[in-house]
Amino acid sequence: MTQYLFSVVHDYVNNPPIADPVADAAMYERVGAFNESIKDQIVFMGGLHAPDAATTCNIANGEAIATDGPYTESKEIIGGLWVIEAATHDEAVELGKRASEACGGMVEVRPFQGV
Amino acid sequence: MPLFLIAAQDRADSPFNKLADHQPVWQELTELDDELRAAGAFVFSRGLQPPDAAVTFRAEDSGEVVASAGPYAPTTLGGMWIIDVADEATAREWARRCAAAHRCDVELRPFQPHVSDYVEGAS
Repeated sequence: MTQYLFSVVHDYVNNPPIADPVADAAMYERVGAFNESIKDQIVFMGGLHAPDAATTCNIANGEAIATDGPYTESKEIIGGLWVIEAATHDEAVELGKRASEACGGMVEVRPFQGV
Repeated sequence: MPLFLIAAQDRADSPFNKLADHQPVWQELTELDDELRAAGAFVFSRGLQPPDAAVTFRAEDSGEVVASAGPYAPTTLGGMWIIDVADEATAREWARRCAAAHRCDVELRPFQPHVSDYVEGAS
């Protein structure tokens, strides 16, 4: 089994964060059904707070200096993720497609290194 | 307890990428994972394969999902830790430790509270 990162990519500039179980009820329902269908393969899943809640630690001279704010100023950044186990790359890609359909947004599928 | 993502940034000019021998880093990272486990804070840690191993899916307005090879955008994300700690101050301290051990920049970001029914022991 290989573990895969499914990054849900969100445009925080043009869209508000997805965090409203009422307004986004249909999406929550689709994602819930997707999760239920693959629950034995889910290592982790979670939605992130908006980028302005981030702290960046820059390493310099062996010391890590913390500053408020995200690492990148990109418009589209990760808004949540799954870590999923898949037997084959094809299976991971198929699940990634279903994850994108479920959350109605962009999903990037990327394999983790082996142990 | 709150969950946090610590995202390792694999920049070409990071101190890590200037090292000739990475073995001491792997050793320190293994020890750091052990410390996280001993503190009850460990949820996940792993390095990612290179970005060109990624596949990106975009949902079109029509509802159709289209696949393309590669990451959605140029990225420095190289791996991650997920930790479960009492508060943000504790998370920041672990993030600093991760950056120092890996010799790379990291970004710390909290997960929303109602996350994972799939994480053993997580709230």
